[in-house]
Amino acid sequence: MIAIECRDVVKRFKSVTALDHMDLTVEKNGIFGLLGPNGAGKTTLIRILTGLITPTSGTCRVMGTDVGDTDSDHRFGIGYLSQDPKYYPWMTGRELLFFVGRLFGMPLADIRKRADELLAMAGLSQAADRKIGGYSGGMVQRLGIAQALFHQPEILFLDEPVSALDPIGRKEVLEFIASLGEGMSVCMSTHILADVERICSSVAIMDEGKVKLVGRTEELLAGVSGGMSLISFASAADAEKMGAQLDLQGVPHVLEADRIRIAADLFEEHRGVILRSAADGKLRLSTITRERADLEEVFVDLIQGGRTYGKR
Amino acid sequence: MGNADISSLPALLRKDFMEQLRNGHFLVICIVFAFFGITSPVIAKYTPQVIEMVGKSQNIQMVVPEPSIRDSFVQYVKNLSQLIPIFLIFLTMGGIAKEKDSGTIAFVLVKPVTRFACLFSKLLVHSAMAAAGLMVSAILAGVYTLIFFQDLPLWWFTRGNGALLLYCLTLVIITQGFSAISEKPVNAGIAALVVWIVSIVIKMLPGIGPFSFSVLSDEALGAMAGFSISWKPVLGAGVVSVAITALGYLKFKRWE
Repeated sequence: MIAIECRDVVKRFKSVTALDHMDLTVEKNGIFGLLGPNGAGKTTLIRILTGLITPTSGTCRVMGTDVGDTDSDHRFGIGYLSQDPKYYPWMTGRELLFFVGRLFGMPLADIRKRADELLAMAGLSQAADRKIGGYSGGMVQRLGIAQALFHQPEILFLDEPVSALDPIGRKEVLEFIASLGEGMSVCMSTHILADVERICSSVAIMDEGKVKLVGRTEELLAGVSGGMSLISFASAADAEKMGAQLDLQGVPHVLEADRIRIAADLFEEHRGVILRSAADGKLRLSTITRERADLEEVFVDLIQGGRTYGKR
Repeated sequence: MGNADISSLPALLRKDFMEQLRNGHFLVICIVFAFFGITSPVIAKYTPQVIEMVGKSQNIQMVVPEPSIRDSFVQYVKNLSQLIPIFLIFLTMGGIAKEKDSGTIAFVLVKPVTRFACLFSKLLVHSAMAAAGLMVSAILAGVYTLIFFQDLPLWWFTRGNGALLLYCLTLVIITQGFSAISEKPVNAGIAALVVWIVSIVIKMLPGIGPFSFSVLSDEALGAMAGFSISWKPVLGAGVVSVAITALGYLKFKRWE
């Protein structure tokens, strides 16, 4: 089942092309991470998918419903938390949730029950009848998640949901988002790679208005970048000699005391040379291990279009 | 799934009305309108006496005609048509523009709410506020006129207030239209003010002059004197209101 489907989507703001013939398909259920540097088009894509703006050309479907108009019906099934949520400062937290419930045409008894549940979940029961204008940033963010979940949406769009939070708040919100992924679809944009790696089951990497890479997080980490190979020697001197050999061969690497770190695919390419150099120089090799790539490597590799592993 | 039609209007109306109550706009409008409602007959009644007293203190014999109910109406219409427009524009220029400026509109627009419902809600609430203010003003002006002049031609007075209401609503609708077009409340206010000033200038022009909605204030005075209200400024008010609201809606519909 498909949650999000975008075909040949273009979005132009005057002379700026924010989305450039972008295609994307996201499966239902699970947490989908939208990664990319600033200006990659993540927020523009989320704003199109939530019906806040319309694409210049191309089609988008959310849960099977067309998102072609700012008055689209698909908004009944979505929840949205913006990057910098703004609510009416004169309302109380409870009043805001009641307002959301009324907008969705929910019966008053259900609104009351749901508001109590979500205020408790967001840790705002004590502050429920205080004006939002007096809330802290973290409280506003938690209220934002509560209002986005109020009508039990099929899909939740979160635009940089934890970027403004302190480490504790971030951890709490991420754990909460992770718990949502079991029964609903979540699409979360972020530039914090560790967060995506931690909670997202699949990920798309965007740059310059295009999706550069999409797939399951585990597969991306295992397949796209080979990670690093770590060659350990019996002594730092041996490691230094090997480093000199690699310099001669023009193989980028990092020397760390008695170890040499080298991109795994480069290691595979120069495996023969490395082992021969070790044998010829009577260098005492201890172990050769492979470290799994992290998302940062995949990301930087794609965005910068080349290896970042520098020479010593 | 439901339909994103205007079924969300009651929720939006409730929210917009609460906002006007909480931020004090509703109270301010009632107080200002009440002030003009009370002071107009008072000024009409006592101005001649004040002039006579000033004249006596300067040893000048001044003959000032006895104030009449007409003086009370002239003062009332003059106050409302000259000062209230600026006040109404200032108080209602927020509307959609304020929500765009503060960012709260995005929170509403991702819910199943049509942009038409958003605009219509603001329009209704601000119009209701202006109507309530005018009602307070009219009741107080009527009561004080009755007290000071022992007479109130109720039907004529009501008709005159009808013309004033149309005048006020036209200004509110124009301001809301510009509020939907502009990104900042102050821009909406300036645009509405310009339209109001232009309408006053047009009023003086031959040919199209009678169609200016600003003529409604003259018609209000005429109606209080027992004359019938001309359809020309009513038509002008309708055309300007519909045109600016349509423009505002089309712009807001495409707002990103």
